[in-house]
Parts: sequence; C-alpha cells; structure tokens
Amino acid sequence: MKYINIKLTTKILLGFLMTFLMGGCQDVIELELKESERRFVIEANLDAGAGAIQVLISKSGSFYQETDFEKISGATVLLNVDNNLSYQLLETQPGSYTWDTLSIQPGDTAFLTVALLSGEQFSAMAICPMPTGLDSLELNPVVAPFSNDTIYQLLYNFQDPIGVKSYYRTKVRLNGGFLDGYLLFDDEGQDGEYIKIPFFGPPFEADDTLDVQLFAVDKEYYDYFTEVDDAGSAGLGSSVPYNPNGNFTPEVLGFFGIWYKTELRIITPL
Amino acid sequence: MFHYKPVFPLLLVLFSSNLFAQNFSISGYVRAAESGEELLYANVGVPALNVGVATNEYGYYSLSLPAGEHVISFSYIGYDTKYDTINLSENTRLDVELRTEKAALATEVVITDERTDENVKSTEMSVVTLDMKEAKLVPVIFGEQDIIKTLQLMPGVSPSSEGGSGFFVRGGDADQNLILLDEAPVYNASHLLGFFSVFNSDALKDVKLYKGGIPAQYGGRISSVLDVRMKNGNNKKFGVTGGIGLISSRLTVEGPIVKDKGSFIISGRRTYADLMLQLFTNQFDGGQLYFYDLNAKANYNLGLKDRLYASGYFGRDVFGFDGSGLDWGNATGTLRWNHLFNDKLFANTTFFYSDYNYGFKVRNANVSIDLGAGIQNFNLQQDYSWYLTPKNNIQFGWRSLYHNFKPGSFSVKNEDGVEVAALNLDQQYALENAVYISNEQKIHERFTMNYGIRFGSFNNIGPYDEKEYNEENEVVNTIVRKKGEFYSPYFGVEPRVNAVFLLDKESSLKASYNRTYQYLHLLSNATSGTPTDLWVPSTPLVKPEFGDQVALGYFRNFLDNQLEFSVEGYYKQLANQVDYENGAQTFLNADIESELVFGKGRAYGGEFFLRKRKGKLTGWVSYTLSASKRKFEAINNGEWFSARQDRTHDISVVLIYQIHKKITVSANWVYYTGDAVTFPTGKYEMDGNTLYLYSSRNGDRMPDYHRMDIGATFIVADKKHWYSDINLSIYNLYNRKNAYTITFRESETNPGQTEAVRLALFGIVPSITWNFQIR
Repeated sequence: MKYINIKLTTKILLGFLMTFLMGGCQDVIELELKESERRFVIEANLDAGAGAIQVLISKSGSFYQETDFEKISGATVLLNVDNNLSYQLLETQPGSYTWDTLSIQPGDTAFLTVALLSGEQFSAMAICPMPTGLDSLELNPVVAPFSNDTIYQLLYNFQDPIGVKSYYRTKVRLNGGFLDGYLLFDDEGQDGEYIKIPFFGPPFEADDTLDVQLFAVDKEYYDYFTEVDDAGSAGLGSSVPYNPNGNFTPEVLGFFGIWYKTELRIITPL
Repeated sequence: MFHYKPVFPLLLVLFSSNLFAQNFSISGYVRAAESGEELLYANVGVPALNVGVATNEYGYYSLSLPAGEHVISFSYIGYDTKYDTINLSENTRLDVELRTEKAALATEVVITDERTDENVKSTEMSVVTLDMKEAKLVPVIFGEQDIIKTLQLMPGVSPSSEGGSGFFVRGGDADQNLILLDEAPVYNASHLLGFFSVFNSDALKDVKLYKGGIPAQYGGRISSVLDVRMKNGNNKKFGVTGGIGLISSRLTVEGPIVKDKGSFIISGRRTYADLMLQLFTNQFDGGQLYFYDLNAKANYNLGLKDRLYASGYFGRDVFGFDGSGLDWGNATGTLRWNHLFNDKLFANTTFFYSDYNYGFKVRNANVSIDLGAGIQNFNLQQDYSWYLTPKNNIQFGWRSLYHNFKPGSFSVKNEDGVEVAALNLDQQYALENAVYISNEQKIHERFTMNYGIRFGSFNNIGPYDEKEYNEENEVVNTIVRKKGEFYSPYFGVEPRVNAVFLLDKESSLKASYNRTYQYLHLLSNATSGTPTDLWVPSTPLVKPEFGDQVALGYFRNFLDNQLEFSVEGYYKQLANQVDYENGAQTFLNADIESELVFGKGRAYGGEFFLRKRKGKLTGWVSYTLSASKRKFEAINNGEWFSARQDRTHDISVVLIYQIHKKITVSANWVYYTGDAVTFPTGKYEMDGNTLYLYSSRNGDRMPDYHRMDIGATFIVADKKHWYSDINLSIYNLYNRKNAYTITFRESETNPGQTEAVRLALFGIVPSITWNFQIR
C-alpha cells in the first residue's frame, strides 16, 4: 500500500509536539497578499456506476473574498466514451454541466472537451476503473491517546480486483456532515487481496451515524488528489505549496476523473 | 565526471632557502595548566624573528628556528601568555602549560594575550571561533547553553527557524553544513525538532565554523564545516560539573586515568519536557517527550610520541504516547591515534563510526506499524602535519568513508503479531575517498598563502537494482549491480586557496577561493526540516553537488586590538542542487530518484563584524547583507527564485557586561528579513473545499523577525573546590510575536471567508539554571 496517510499521521504527531511543548499562540493576522489573475477552474466527475457526469466550470477569486466564485456559463462541454458514444452536456445551473444517462464500462477511455465562450478550449482523458465496492464496515473500540476515553476506529473491508492497479478514495459523513479527512491509497503490495483499511477520523463517539463511501477511482483522479493533499497541507513538516496539476490540456486548475462509488452506513454503539 | 584545469602552481614553491639553513626544531604540546587539556590553535611565536605557528587540532606545534637563544611566546585566548627563553642547539621538545588569566573569574571574558591580532594576520578568513566561556554568557531560550545558537549570532550564519538549532551559512541549505564531532559527522544535529542542538556545552573544548576558505582537509559538504572537539578530560584531578534547569539537567564527570598520562570525561544530559507537561495538563498522561545524550571520551599517552583517544556520542529523542510515536537519534564513535614520527611530522589516524536513524511506530489493539530509515558510516583516515620549515607548514592526508544508506523499511502486523504487510527498500552502499595536501607558506613578511588541493571520489557499490526512468517516472530499464560491484564513479578536484596581505600592523586584506563537492543529499519537501528527511547518495541520476566560493575581506583592529573589525564579501555558485518535484511521494518510495528535479544556486553578500574582546564590556555587532537564489527548470517556470533562507538583512548585537566580579549581565538583539515563502494569491473551489491558488515559488515574505533577550549570571560561590552560579535569562523580552508559520484557513466565525493565521511559538520565556562545579 503506497499511501496510508503516514505523512498526515507524522504531521499530527509533530503538531501535538509543537502545541504541547510550546503552548504556541495562534492568532489571525491581517496579511497583505499579492493577487494573481483569475484562472479557470474545471471540476469534472464521472460517476460510472450511475452513468452520470457533472462538470463545474468557474473562475478563481481573490484570497479574502467570499466563496461566491464566478460561474462560467455558455460553455460547450462534450464527452466521448471509447471513441464511440458522444454526449453534449447540458448547463443545468450556471456553470454546472451534466448528463445522467451515459454508458461507460471499466476500461473505457473517456475524452472530455470544454470550449468556453471566450475562446479557450481544454481537454482531458481518463480511463474507467474497475467497479470495486465496499463489502462491509467494522468499528473497533480503542483507547484514545492522552485520555482514557473509548473511541472507535473505522475499518473499510473490500475485495481488491486481482491483476489491476487500483486506486481508492474514501469520504465519511458524520451525522450528516462530510468530514475533511479522507484516505487516498492504492493497492500496491495488496493486489487482489481482501483489504481491511483503518480510518482514524476524529474520535467517533457513541451513537454516531457514519455514512461511509468508498470510491474506486482512476489514476488521474488519484494523482490529482494526491497533489491536493500534499499541496494543501500546512504547518510544520508540510510541503512547499503549489497548485495541484490535473489532467487537462492546456493546464487548467482542476481535473477530470471517473469513479465508482459505494456507500454503507454504520452506527457506533451506545 | 568533472573536469578541472589546475590554475596555480601548487606546492611546487615549497622549497625556499630556509629549508637548507642551520635550523633546529622546537616542538611539543600547549596545554591548560589546570586541567592538562591541550589547547587547540594556540599561538606559538618568536616575536623577534616575526615567525610563529599555531598548534594543530591536538595541541601540537613544531617550529624550526636557527640555532641560538630565542624568546618564545605561547598564547591562547583567555590564558596568560607565557614566555620561555631557550638556547637552541639541538632539536628540543618543550611542552608548555598556560594558566588562565589571574584576574579572570570563571565567567569573565577578559583577553590579554599578545596575539589578539591573529584575526588580522592569519590566512584564515570566513571563520568563526567561539570562546566557550563567552558562549555560556549569551542568553538563550530555556537557559540551555548552546554553541549553535551562539554561532547563529555571527555574520553569515542564521537560524533555520525560531529557537532552532539548524543553521544556514551564507545562503546555503542546512544539509550543506558538515557537522563534525571529534571528526565524526553528525547527520541531525538537533534535538526536540530543532530547539536544542546535540552539543552539550559542558563536554566541548573547541568550536570552529568555516563559512568559506575551507581547508583542504575538510570535504563532503559545499556550504560550511563546523568542527566541534570534545574535551579530553582533566588529567590532573577529578571534577564534576553540572547544571539543573527548568527543562533539562546535565552532569559531567572528568578526571585522570593516570595523572598526567591519561584522562576521561563522561557527560550526560536529559530533558524532562514530558514531566513538565504532565504537571500542567492531564492531556499528556502517558505521553513521552524527551531527549537524552551522552558524551564520553578517554585518552592515554603511550609515551612522548604516541597517544590514543576513544570518544563517543549517543543521543536519542523520544516522542510518543501509548506506545506510538517517533524516535530518532545519532550515535558516533571515534578512535584516534596520534603519533610523532619526528619533531616535525605529526600524524593522526582516525577511525570513526556514525549512525543516524529514525523510527516511527503506531500501536493499537488491531495493528502495529513500524517504519524506519537512516544512514550509517564507517571511516578511516590519516592526517599529517609536517612542519617543514618556519615558512612552510604542510598538511596532507587521506580518508576513506563507507556509507550505508537505509532509505526505509515498513512493517504492519496484525493483532496476533503476524506480519501482514512489509516493504524494505533496498539499502544503498557507497565509498567516498579523498586525498589532500595543503601548505601554509609565508612568502613575504606581509604576504602569506595557504594553498592546497583535494581529490575526491565517490562510488556506488552493489548490490543494487539501478533503474532508469522515462518522463512519466516509469521504470524503463533496470541494471542489476552485483554485490561488491563498484559503479557510477564520480571524481572531484577541489582547489583551496587562502591569502593574507598585511597592510600594516593592524590591518590586512584577505582573499580565498574554494571548490567543494557534496556526494550526499538530504531530501526534504517540507518548509521546515523534520527528523524524517532522507539522506540519499549520488547515483547515476543524482549528480554530486558542488560549489565554488570566492571571498574578499578587509580586517582591521583598533585600540590595541581591543576592537576587531572585518568586512567580507563573498560570491558562491552551487551546481546540481536537488529538490522534489511537486506532489512527490517522499517516504518509502523505491523510485524516489524519479521524483527529483535538479537545478543550480547562487549566493552573495557582504558581512560586517565589529567585536570587542577586552574590558568589562565585551560583545559584537554583526550585519549581513545577502541574497540566495535557486533555479530549477521544473519550478517557477525555470526562473530564479529566492531560497527560503534568502534573508536580505541580518543583524545581531551581543553585549556582555561585568558589573561586579560576581555579576555579569548580557543582552542580545537580532533582526532579520522574513523568510522567502509561498503565500496564496487567490483561491478556488474544488470537491466542496476551498483550495488556494499560488503564483511563484517563494515570491512572498514572512514578516521580519526581531527579538531581544537578556541574561544575568550571579556567582554564588567561587572557592577552591566548589563553584556555583545562577543564570537567569529572559528570551524575547518585549514579547514579539514572531511568526513561526503562517497558515490559511476558513474563518470559524465567518464561514466562506478565508484568513491568515500566525503561529508564534514563544512569547516571553524566562529561565533559571543553576550551575555547579566540584573541582
């Protein structure tokens, strides 16, 4: 397994060290920041299981503005699957282009092109992954560090397909709200095995409802979010910041990814 | 492979007429009378003839003089100068003991030797030497005396972070400093993530930092050499030295093995940050947070011509809770044999072992994860000092250094202790060799040169699967290197030249040039170093770094050498610099080489230094104006950008004042331009989260850093067999909130808004330390 958030765990440990050792003081400061020109942002997710695609096109904003980013309307968004089926997505909301009755199979190659009214054109390619799904979930009680409270460690159980390089991502909703933390990993060293992978989220408490999603993702998606995770880290031990680079040509902020999603629910004991 | 055309007639001009004159040698050791410790770099001179020599790293000197009567002076900072009249009619052995100045108290910094103009007359430039007594008076954080924190107050040297013991020298990176403890390299000189250095001041005798003009005997790093020598231990009587502070305590025991023939010293230190934390918060119950280190050394004279030394260092940091955590540490061991072939030829043979490793473990009921990585060295070397003529002192030697790189291992066990996953990256082996020779030649009354050359080589050694990659970082070819197979040789020719021209008795011009090669690289993609940064060797893909530095300086003393002034300018170029590409997988990556990018660097600047070494008021003012840039094709669109340590202005003021024979106060103030960093220049939405938009690498600046510390030392007792003092200090007197990091986040009070958050580590930090000495 190439990536199991070792870096994140290291950062958490180092963060603890800083906090405990120094009692460091944090405050919000007014910092004058340079402003770069607005850039196009394309977020394209193809849910292969549901046969649906959503492409969000917007522009970046200034650091101190609200999250009311400019939506880009009037674009022509075309999806071609395996050089066979073509779809022109509909702009269902400003800047949001969708199609929900497409057909795609594992191994299919999908091409996405985005042509903006202003003349710019971007294209990306992705390959549909295997439809690996969650088999079951487990909750293991563990004693929390620094206290004697019982917290729960969540385990994802699923069968990795043999002979195929596979990539995964998780998302967890805790009592209805998505958690920031997630796992991003591949099957290196565990190809074709029954995988049980732990998720160390925030301390899950009694009677928490966890809606747990496993995404079997394509390599482009995995690579992009690896960079998002790396570039978005902050503080001691974090990497030098940079803009994650997706699979669009010419380069634009964002990515085009294909994934299968399964979701299971588990409730922590009372 | 590198090519170099020799440009100067090295070593061919040695044989001046003095060689054939009727000379006899006078030679021996210069030692401290109280402890028998050899005094390193002490001055031995004949004022009437205007000739002199410095003792070497073992306190040995040899001087060739014409037959007849001579008055010889022996001097060393902090000791009374001694004059001996000798009628030289044959080769003569003269061991000398110097007494600390009569007026000097244990904490006093008064220097009255005759040769305080050495900074003007010596060929050495870009060198920082620390007076260990003085270093103990400079206020530092937590009251824990630290040579590296004191060095950071010198021109051209700056800290890697607030309160940290990493340092940058003349715009170089932290891994480009060769740090030697009794000749063995220390790969991570930091404890507690950098807040303490591994050097326990009680065990140290001498500290010398070469920022430029690096002598030919040193090699392997391109920025600087920090040569730290441990005490030998008192060979006349037993003594105990120690201190108890708020965060750590230390104890040193030393004494003779056989009086005047051999001695030992053992020095230990342990912090108790975890115990303190447990007092203040119950959140840290079960947590461990401490470091400890142990220095030990013994030496024994086997007669007038031979002496053996054994020394070692072992230190470890532990941080964790409930069985999970991080630990890392260094271990070094050195065996040395000094041998005098004759009065003029001194040899030292050294074997050392050095090991740095770190481990990371996670333990809970279901899984047990262990990670580890490190580097190990074995080294054999010989260094010779050949006091050929009064005007030619030759140093030569060789060394052979075997490296074992352990890039990482990983193991996961289930609740039954059965290994369910494991990964062991292939270890890498390499041999680094060097031969060198240099000569310090007094060419004219006013003109002295030290010139030399070093030839280095580096070979990877099998077994190893050498890989070749395509642009997609995929392996396209693997060459299987057999066990013991040498491959990928690199050679480096490193000329070194220092020269001094005396303008008059009080001022001089100096110049130096050196080329240095570095065959090891520390990989870190972090904004600040962590124990998990990885040392890797040069390989067919990763070329050796090398650097060229030229420096010019003007040195002037005033007021009968009470004031030293110098201004130096330098320019250096760095080749084959290594960095990670964006998004590199840095740990446990067997193909890490495919994720590296290569570039170059340059650094230049001016350093101004004014120091007062005599009187009740001592101290210095240092100002550095500098720039440090890097260029990588894959970063910043191939444009030059500032290195993180590109601090335009760096000022330090250190003042130490003896109010009373038992009270000394001190203060220092530092200011430097904020680090070059990358801040967001916008933001955008992705996957329901806000991501920040960046423009150029290191195109922004942290706020400027400044801080004032004060300290006072009160001597409580100063008797024949008992000494104690109390040291009080206040770090960051005016509570400047210097930013350790600035991070960005969504506002908690105003969702949707983003804000900048400053982490200031230290407010006002008062400390108290009690030091004692049984003597």
